[in-house]
Amino acid sequence: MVMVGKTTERIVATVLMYLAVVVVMAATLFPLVWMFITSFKKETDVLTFPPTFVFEPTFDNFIYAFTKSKPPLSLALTNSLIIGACTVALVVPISALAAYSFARFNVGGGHLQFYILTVKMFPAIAAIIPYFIIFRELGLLDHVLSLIILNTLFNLPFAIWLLFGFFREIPQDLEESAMIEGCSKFGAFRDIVLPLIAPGLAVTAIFSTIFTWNEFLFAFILSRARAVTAPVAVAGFWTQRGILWGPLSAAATICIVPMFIFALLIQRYIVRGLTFGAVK
Amino acid sequence: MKIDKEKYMPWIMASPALAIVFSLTLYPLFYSLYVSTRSFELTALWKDAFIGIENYRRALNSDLFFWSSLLKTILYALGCLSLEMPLGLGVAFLLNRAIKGRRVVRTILALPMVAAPVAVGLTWRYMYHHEFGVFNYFVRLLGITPPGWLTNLNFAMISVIIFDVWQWTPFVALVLLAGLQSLSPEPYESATIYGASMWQKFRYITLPSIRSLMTIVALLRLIDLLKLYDAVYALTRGGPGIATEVLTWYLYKIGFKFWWLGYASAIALMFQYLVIILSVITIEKMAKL
Amino acid sequence: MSSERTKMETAILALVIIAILISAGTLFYVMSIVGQLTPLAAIPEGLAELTAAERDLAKALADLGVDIAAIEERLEKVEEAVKPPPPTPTPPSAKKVVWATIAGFYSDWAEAISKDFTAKTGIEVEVVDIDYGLLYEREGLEMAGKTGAFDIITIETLWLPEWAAAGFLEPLNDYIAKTPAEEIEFDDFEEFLAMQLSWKGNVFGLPYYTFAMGVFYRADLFEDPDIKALYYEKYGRELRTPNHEMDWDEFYDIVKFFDEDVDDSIVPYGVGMMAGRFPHIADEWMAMLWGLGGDHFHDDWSIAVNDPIGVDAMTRYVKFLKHAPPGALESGYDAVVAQFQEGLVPVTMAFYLDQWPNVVKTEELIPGAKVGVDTPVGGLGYQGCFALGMCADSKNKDATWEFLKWLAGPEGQYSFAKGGGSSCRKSVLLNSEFATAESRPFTGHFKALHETFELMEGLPKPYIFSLPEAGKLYVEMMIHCSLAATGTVDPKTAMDLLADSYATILGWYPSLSPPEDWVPPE
Repeated sequence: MVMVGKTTERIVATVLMYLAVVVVMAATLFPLVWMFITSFKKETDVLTFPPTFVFEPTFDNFIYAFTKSKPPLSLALTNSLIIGACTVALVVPISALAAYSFARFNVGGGHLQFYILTVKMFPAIAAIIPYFIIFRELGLLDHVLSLIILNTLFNLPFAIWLLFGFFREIPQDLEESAMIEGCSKFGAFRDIVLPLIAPGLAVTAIFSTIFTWNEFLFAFILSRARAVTAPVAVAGFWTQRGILWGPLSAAATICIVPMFIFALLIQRYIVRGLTFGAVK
Repeated sequence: MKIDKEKYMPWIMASPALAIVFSLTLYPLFYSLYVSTRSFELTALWKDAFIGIENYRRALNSDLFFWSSLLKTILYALGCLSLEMPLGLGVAFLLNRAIKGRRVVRTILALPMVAAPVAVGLTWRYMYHHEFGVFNYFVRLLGITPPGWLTNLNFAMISVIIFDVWQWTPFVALVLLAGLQSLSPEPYESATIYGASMWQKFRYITLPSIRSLMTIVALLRLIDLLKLYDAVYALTRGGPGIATEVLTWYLYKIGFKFWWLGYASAIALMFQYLVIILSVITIEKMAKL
Repeated sequence: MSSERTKMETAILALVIIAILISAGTLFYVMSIVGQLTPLAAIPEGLAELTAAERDLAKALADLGVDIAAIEERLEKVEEAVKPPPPTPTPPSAKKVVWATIAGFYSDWAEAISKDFTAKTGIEVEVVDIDYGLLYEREGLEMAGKTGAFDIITIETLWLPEWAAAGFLEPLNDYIAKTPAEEIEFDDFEEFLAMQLSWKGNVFGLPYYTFAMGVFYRADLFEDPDIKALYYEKYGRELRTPNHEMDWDEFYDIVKFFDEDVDDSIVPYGVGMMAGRFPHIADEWMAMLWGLGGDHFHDDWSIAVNDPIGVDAMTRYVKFLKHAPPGALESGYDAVVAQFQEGLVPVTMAFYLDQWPNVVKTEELIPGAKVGVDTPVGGLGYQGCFALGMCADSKNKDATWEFLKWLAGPEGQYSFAKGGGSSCRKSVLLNSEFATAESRPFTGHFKALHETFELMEGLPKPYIFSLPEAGKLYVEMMIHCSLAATGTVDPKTAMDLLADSYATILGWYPSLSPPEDWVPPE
């Protein structure tokens, strides 16, 4: 009797569990699927009462998004990719070095580290004018470089914080023994510790990429025509007809694709990587 | 030479980060401080004059909209956080089991964060629309009078919260999932032998272990929630009325529609101070859990 | 050993990522080039222009064995021979003009006309598209920062005093004086609009695109005999179509009628309103305020929004809202167009006439529907426009002026109208070419548009358009109208709060024009 009860219990539990997973997946996906569907709708099918579920699909929105959008979507995507790649290439090494120095040597006694965190707290809106002035003086307005620099700055607090946690997880013995044998501090860092937190580096990389990819405010302010990024281009679909939901959804769908592929490749590192930094 | 390099190596390692951070943040900070004591209006430069703490005084004493937006920001942040943390933890627990297709599920969970906030926000706005939105379509099918998601004064904030929860709970879930997966099974096994219930296992084994991780996540979310802008921009623009006018939105109006940079800087600096205080409080609170 | 493998893995992963990024980037670069080379399936040139009658004629001639193509060829050769040589373009002082305009608003026309201009004068034009919601900030920032990035900018009438006072815009009087009259035809601009574009005696912008307000209605419903009979029964009056001769009371009766008395299967609600927190709600309210005889300020510049008329306007607005779809509170102009197209509303409040090409599509979507357009109820709406102005720190002022007068000139405006744009020139609006049945889907509203302006001829400039703070006041209007519309506060309180905020804005950093001797900083 008891055994039968236990098995039934387990089956019910398993079914409920999978049901819960399905519900979570559905809730997560529904808006995105809706956006995806909208990108195939004709203009008159979009704002209807009641909403249209069955309709004649069309590719026009995608064609429109690529050829007729100004600023051109392809340029925006390329810029976003360049900015993302360069930002990550800068953020990861710089934050790794800094986080290591904070974790192992307590550079600045914790105050410098806290200052870096407060960078994140300042409302961006109030910072726009000073940055506008800075980059104007440097002649870097509407240039990809200014966005790379700013995005590096914005991602450093998060990256340093995260990697700090990872470094703290690793016992110091390995480095100490290495240094006794004559290894330099930097050598110990590069050869011993860094490989151990490679997953942590991957995590920092992907989240920095995501945040840079989605950054809107500064990309909009500091770009005109040449340095526009994907979110700015997607926002440009407000026309005299109103919001062009079709091309907007198409553009947004296109913008998700690179990130989706990236996420797919890196996702196992996210979990494995965060594992190391987590528990204390 | 080598000895010198070794001794200062930690500082050398930290230097690129410090260089970037200091070179790019000191000027905005001092600029904001300077401008906050002046009546600086960007498109009317002849009005520029030193006025001391007048901007601060005005915001604190006479500005109803400032206080209302501050209140809304805090309500919003707490509202989202109080939903995202438990939900995220719940989803993390759910995915901690050995489920088939775990990888796919994890990737799908990451999608809301990865989609451009503006586009996704606009999609949600269109889903929330009273006549044309798909949510009300289903509500009408059930025979209930459709609510005004973005038109009802009370509902609007909730609708924005729902959007944010949808978008960022996966972040909490994924991070906490990682934490859970690194826990070793031994304490649990011994606890089962001693007849501990699920709740007791959770309370005395799991919770202490992932507390620091939960603090980090809560802190990061809190800072981002207080700085909320994209969701309001896409969904409500601060409306209906001023139901969703959070501080960053109010700041945007002051700084960019009115061009009162002096006043805006004063509010921004006060706000940053507030965020620092709230962050410290959060850390304390989580430590007591 | 495992650390070595992890290191390898990481390195390979990094290389793979970089490879993906590079190839994706290249792919997108290629697509961008290809995208520019392959236009959307374009109708062969010339064929679209033929009317049905002309097509029939061409076919008949072809049947008779007449070789039209050969004749055309010979005609062309003759024309070539007698054509005067093209004028050598006067070399401009600089070669490039940057035009900041609204993204998605007739961008096809913008591109086409820029190319025409370049072909004619050799001056290159770069068109920068900016999202309308962020246009004000973007242009303001560039001009305040003196970056010289834009040469021509798109200005909304309310922004002009502020930018003119700040010295961002170049006064155009001298340029206009230098230009031969037929190229600019200044009197051809609708007076009321041209008046709004000058400040303290100087002209700062030339109008090119107007969103002046009128009213759209479902003519088929207003002409339906059953509906007319029902209205007569309930209200004892003839059902009239809305226009400036109607007052707000009668309009309210009509709206109420359609909402409550007309069956929901025909039309469920009474009126389409843009009551969301967008600038449009302020426009609708201002139409009522002015239509009822009120204004923002008295003659002595004291604030008048919370006078009884102002409160009355707001109260009526809230009353109208009861008969609008509940989604009105989140709607902008595009949602109202959609409501109209879906047959949810029979009539709009004061609405932007430039939306005609979209609204008229209702006739395709709803069988039997006919769309009517007329002047606004009460006779006055927010009659504004987008204008083109020259930046004061433009480096190519002469070239910019050439382009400016080309865009706003009779030719440019004519091609704008052909593309469906709502022009600001009388000659274009009254052009009989645009009153034909073929042109109706694009320009059927021109007559009503012109009448709207005729109603305003001779009226003094509303006070608010002279204030540099106009832009700020406009934002406050939007917020407070939304407060009243959503019921956050009652209309009286909302107007009182609005009056307070006007006083704050105008009084806090004192509202002064720059002193005579003030020189903008470098």
